[in-house]
Amino acid sequence: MSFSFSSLKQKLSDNSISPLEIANSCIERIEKFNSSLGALVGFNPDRLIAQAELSQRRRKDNKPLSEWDGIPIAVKDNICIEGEVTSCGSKYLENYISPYDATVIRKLKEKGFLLLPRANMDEFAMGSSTENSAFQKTSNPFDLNRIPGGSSGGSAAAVAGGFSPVSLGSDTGGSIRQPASLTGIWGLKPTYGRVSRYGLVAYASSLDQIGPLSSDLAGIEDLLKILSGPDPLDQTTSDKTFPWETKEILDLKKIKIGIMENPNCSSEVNERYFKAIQNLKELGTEIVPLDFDVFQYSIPIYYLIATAECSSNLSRFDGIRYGNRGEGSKLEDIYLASRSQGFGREVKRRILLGTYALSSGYYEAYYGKAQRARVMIQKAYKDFFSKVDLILQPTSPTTAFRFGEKKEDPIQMYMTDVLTISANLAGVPALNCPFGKDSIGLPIGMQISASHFEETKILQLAKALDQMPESKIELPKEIG
Amino acid sequence: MDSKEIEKIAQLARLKLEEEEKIALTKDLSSILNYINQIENLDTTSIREEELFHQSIKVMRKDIKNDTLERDAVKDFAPVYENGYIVVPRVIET
Repeated sequence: MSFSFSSLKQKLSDNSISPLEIANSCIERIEKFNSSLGALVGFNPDRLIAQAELSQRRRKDNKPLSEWDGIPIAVKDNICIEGEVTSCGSKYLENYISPYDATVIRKLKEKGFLLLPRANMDEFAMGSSTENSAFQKTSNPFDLNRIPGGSSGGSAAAVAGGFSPVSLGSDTGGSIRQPASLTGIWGLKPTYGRVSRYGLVAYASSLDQIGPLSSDLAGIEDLLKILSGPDPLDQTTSDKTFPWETKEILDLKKIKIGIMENPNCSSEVNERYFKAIQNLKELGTEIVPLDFDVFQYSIPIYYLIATAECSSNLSRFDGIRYGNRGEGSKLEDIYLASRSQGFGREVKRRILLGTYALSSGYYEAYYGKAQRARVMIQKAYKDFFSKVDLILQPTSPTTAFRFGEKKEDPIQMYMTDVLTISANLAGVPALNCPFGKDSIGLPIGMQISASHFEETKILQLAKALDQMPESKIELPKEIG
Repeated sequence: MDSKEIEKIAQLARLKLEEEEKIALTKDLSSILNYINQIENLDTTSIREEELFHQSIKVMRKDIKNDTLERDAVKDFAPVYENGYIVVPRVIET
């Protein structure tokens, strides 16, 4: 797909392209490159064509469901689509067919989007490189020997590889923003409560959030409008709706942007960061250095809270009601066999860690402590956003690394999320903005975060970054 | 973390670990816990108990009857399904 989200929307509205032409060009590209890229699992061209035919008919009858009717969107493998497999990158769910649509899927269907399942992912969204998928590896479109980031690596590679102009991912500790950064595209984790998680297979419920990835900023803005809003099926959704018309233009001369030191970042990432700051200064923005102190604990806090929640959430996978049932003549044996054969190494690691953190004798020292520390992070953000309008940081400490480089060392892998995790702990929104490439041609991204429900501010600063010539990243036309 | 402790945790989590897996996971968890233990250095005494419980929004919906899935929807994903029931081994001894 050589078209961006906004140009596709334009071409559909002036009838210079049809939904069937779009679907066929997607299929052509997927069939050419998916075997080397591995972005999609179980791709079924017939189902895409069937959706495109319906969309085409609606457009012909002059009754499109919306201005987006006919735009394809890749969907992460942990978001339920009725009648499709939702495997979460896990052997345990490899044959699970969802009987219902997630709320976000219902909303996309109502607008006429062409759904493109299933974007590959780390098993149950646990990982930062998509190397933990039970099915296949996903490569970075900029260099097939490198990872695309994770856990929404398939969603990022599908967009950066030109399979679809936008995709859906989920972000528990950086799983939308980090892969977006490593593949040179936009990726938003909305405010906790902004988008319904009904139909998203839960990993860590107090942190999980669904959000869009896109080859251009317009795709992020439109999808946020479509996906957001209260949902009676998800009690944590807020009744705040996203404003459909955003009239206020952010005056860069009147706002304050917080910056932080990033001792974990590579020198090339930091150089880019300083360049972005310099550019903003030249536009007249006031830059305010913020103290990073409490954030240095964000990884330990995250790995206690997320694993505790996952040990509880994943207890539903017991081989009884759904998933692959292991052999056993007693219930207990079925539980043990189903879980032990169905889960991969990282999932077991996190379940065990979470079980340990919640177990008698350790609960207060680990889980209790982490909960208190999390409140400190939330207070730190509150304090920051009383001083500044937005915070600018790099998204990932390095550019894309090679397969196997960090897989054997969990802590090294966990450290890749050092800049993204705190937004999940506080529930604030954060966006990856592509911001040029390093010396070997790999994408670098900057992260803008704001206070709860202030996505409009983020999008407005993002527009300013998007206009800086240094930010441009051309997505690869040929892959491999 | 030693192999005895990991066995106990695995039992609580309903996971059965192969010998080789047990060795690898014991090593992994020891190093992760070692890293996580730095959290002890953070003074959290300023956080009051009640601050832990009002962080998320909880919206109540109206109590209206809605359609849910048909019972037979289960047959597409249940591991063993017969005559409208998910089949499990006998639980109560007779």
